[in-house]
Amino acid sequence: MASLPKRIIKETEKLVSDPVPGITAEPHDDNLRYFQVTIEGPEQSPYEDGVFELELYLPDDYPMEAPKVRFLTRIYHPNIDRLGRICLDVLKTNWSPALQIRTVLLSIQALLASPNPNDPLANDVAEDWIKNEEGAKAKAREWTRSFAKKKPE
Amino acid sequence: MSINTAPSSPPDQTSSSAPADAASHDHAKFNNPIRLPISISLTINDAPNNSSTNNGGVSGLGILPSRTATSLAMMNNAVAATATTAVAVEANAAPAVNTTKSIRHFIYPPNQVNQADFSLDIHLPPNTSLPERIDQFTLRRRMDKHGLFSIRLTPFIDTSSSSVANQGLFFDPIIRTAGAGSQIIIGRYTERVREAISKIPDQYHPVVFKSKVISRTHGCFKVDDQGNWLLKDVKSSSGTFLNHQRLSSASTISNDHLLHDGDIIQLGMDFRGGTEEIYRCVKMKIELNKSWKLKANAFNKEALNRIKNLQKLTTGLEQEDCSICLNKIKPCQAIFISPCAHSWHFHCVRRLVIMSYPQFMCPNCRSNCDLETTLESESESDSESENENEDEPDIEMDVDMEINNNLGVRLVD
Repeated sequence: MASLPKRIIKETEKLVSDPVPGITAEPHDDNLRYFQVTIEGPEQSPYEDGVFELELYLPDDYPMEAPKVRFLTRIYHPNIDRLGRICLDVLKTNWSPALQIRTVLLSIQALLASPNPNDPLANDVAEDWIKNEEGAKAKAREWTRSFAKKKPE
Repeated sequence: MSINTAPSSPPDQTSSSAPADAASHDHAKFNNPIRLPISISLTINDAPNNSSTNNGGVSGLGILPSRTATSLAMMNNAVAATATTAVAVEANAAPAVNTTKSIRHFIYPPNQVNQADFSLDIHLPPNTSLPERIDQFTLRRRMDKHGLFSIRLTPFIDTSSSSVANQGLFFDPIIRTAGAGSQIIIGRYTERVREAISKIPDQYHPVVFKSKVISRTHGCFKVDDQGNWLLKDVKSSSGTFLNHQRLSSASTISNDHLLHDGDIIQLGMDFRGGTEEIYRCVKMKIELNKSWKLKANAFNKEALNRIKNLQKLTTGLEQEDCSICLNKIKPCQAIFISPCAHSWHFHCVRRLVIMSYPQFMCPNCRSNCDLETTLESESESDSESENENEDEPDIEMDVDMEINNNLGVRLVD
């Protein structure tokens, strides 16, 4: 493996020394470009009280290329599909090398707080969300209870 | 350093053997992570008359352990006898050696303790002499932190000639470092060379070019214990030119010519008009002993401070680090400043600039700008923004930028 760019080392150190509230990201021992991530569901969202696991990978071209992020925990969300793929502009076309792991994870947390059914990735979830928002949110809460880990009190 | 006055002796062996001895003395105690000395032969030793037995042991390629270097010092050499160490001298058919080019590439470790131990075989042109010895302080300044001397070669692009063909071979800047008494070969890049140097750190490589007008061993640089660098043509077929003067006629060895900062060297001459890259000569500018490294002076620091203030003024935020590499922007680094006053190391932002040129979207605030916009005064266009380009009135100028409010950053009028 090519040597790890200084930028990645710096970001990793910062994530450890100054963690984002409600978010953890730890690099894998064998591959320092691969991160084990957890995000707490935002308060007053259907995902409240759940802790979601994600994986994050920094491609070789990072930071010129966006990190690859995927939910490992199943989640009922119009912008996240069954495979855990996330529809988020900053992970795709709106990526900028000035963004960081930290800011990407914050964006994902924000996406949990405000789902956008008008630009869906999981079409069935989005339809449900538009037709019957309360029902969809109830289902999201139910999924959170059954799949996500409990938030430590 | 002793200057050899016997013109008939084979210069290649003289210069290599005696210093090797000195190097081996203190190599062991010098705790350098890179193993020096390094010795490579770039030519096939095909001369039948050069068959002395001890030569066979060292004609291989690669890095010589210091022991071997010592045995190398035993190599026959009339001049080495003038050195204080007891070097075994073996009479050699000296004139016959002239038919071969067994010149070696040698990089010695720094700070050789006993300066008398080595003799760099230097033939100066008639009526010239080396500069006077310099004091320790100046000498220190010439060395890098490892005690090595350095040379940088940058392509000399003659902008006065309009034809592309005359511009010479293009290459990335070459930096070499070497201890006193080293001899760096200049030659052609061949498969053989590639193999020989693959395990050696870049800064100890021979200076080789992918051009057929360069001989396999074309010339060499030497550096003495004072950090004086010298250039010599070793029987190249198409010549070595120092400041436009040819050092020697075809296939003859030249004297050693003292180099100065800013000298222009040309290796070979364009063949077939130099239309093909492989037939281009090499023109390069010389810089010696870190002279290219800028020390941050008051002006440099002040200029950087003004950029920081400018950013504060326009974005309201104090930006300390380059947002792409997350390192600090320091004086004497090439910086790119976009119209929105964000700045990065040019090295970091270069790809973004090139990718969509002349459109540029600031990675920090996402404002778009057209880098080809003509400005009434100096255009800031695409290149590395000079530090002094940040005169206050410039930001007042209309630079035709749209501000995308995505991240809520606006220009302050």
